[in-house]
Amino acid sequence: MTTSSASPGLGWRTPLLIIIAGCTIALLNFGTRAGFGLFLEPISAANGWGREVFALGIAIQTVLWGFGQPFAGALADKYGSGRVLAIGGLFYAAGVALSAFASTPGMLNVTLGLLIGIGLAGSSFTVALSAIARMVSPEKRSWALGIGTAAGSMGQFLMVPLGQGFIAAFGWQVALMLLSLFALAIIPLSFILAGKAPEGTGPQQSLGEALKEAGNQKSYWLLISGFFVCGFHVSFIQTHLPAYIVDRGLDAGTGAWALALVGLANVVGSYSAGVMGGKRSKKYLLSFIYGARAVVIAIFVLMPMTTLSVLIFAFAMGLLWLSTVPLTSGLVAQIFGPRYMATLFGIVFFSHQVGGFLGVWLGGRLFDLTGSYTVVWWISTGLAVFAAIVHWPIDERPLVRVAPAAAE
Amino acid sequence: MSGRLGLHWIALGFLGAVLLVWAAIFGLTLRRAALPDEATGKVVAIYPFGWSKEQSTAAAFATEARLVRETWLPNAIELSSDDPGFAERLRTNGAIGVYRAQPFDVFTLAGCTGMLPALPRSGPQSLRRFG
Repeated sequence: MTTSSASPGLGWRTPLLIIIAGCTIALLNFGTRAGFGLFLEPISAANGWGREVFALGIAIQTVLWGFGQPFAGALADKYGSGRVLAIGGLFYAAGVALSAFASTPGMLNVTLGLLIGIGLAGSSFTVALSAIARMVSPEKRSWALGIGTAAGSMGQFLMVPLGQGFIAAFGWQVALMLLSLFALAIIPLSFILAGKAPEGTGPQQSLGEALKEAGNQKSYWLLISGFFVCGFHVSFIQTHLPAYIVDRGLDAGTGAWALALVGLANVVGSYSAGVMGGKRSKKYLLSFIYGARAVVIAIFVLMPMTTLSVLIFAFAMGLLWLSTVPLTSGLVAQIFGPRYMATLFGIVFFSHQVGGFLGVWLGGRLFDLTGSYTVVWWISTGLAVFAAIVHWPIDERPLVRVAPAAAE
Repeated sequence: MSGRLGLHWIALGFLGAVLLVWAAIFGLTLRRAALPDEATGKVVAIYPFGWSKEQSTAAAFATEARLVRETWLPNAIELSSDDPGFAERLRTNGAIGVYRAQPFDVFTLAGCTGMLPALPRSGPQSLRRFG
């Protein structure tokens, strides 16, 4: 990669350095959070709490992460990505470290819930990806978004065993302190992604005007609808697949291998989608991915369940897992330009989180009502078909903006 | 074409660097987590990769350990004993690593999405009994 492909005015920050920093931030942000489930039992046992105390803290965190995303994006677009990432990293690290000392449910809600929720939003890969998209050349953008997403996926895959190792070696409190160091590492990396789109580049519009413009675009709403489905699928499957597998007569170990396989294939799928997005139409690729999800889920539900069928399903879904991210974020940048991408993609990502919440909640609720996951699997299939259809008519051409008439 | 290949090399280089750093930290962590020879109680014994469940179980039982549970890895078993020198005996009988047992299982991992883990309707309802 040559430095000439960078946006102008980046100085010492070469595109390679920018991509490495952005990928590492995505890895640390996603990865550190992926290990929180490991602390459910030790924190609950140490304080004599039921699981619902920890669960409430995580729920607060998830809601704040989702809600905070568009606001973090808006702050990044206005004041620069570096500042928001650094402050987010600080909140994140403080929340993780202080969770080790939370001795009341209220304290846990503040640390695990409030502080980490804000930190996750501020230091999120949404902000990091937007910074990368702005700082690399348009022809490398899709690839860069792909490697950024793959790095986040890899973080999820690698940090869980590491977190488990930390707990075994040092105890859960020191393990949290060590994990907070990973979150803290986001701060120095954020300096590399500092800055915002230079004045005079891109459209001459305020954030409010950019939001209004996007809100008037049918394509933007279609992207939001499609990404909602992605959130629904990944959260439902990740949360309920192991229980579904055991209920269908297989052992829990198959569930663990399935989740591991999803994580591994996800890295390959995310990267490949980014590469493909640089060569082919992103909207058609998204239609293909959601259509493939519909086929894969339907076959999985209809076929007799064996260990092999579970592993094939897991691998196929892994390839299709976060492969939607570089394409969806790439479409936002392609249609609206990278100037307000953090805000606009933050809103799209919020829709993903709402879908995720519904996937988990509805999965449990419908299981309680019907005694099986069958209805939710078919809802997932229907939603996948819906998403495949709604991406088709998206107009992925960059918006043509009419310059204001010169004053007479 | 060469430009595209260059991008893939960057991705591979990043992956390699991350895996190297991860392996180093993970290796040090495992070394620190290894139990001393005299350790007793509930432990997880790791046998060489490639060992079958039967091989691992036979080696474990040669130490007169009590089986707590099998895990999703064929070469890892959770065992228990109150006799001093338990960890040393496990190592003498082929274990390459002996660690304190952790309350972790696939359902806790699934809960990493941020929601309560979904437990299967059938079978035991305690998190500790899966894995």
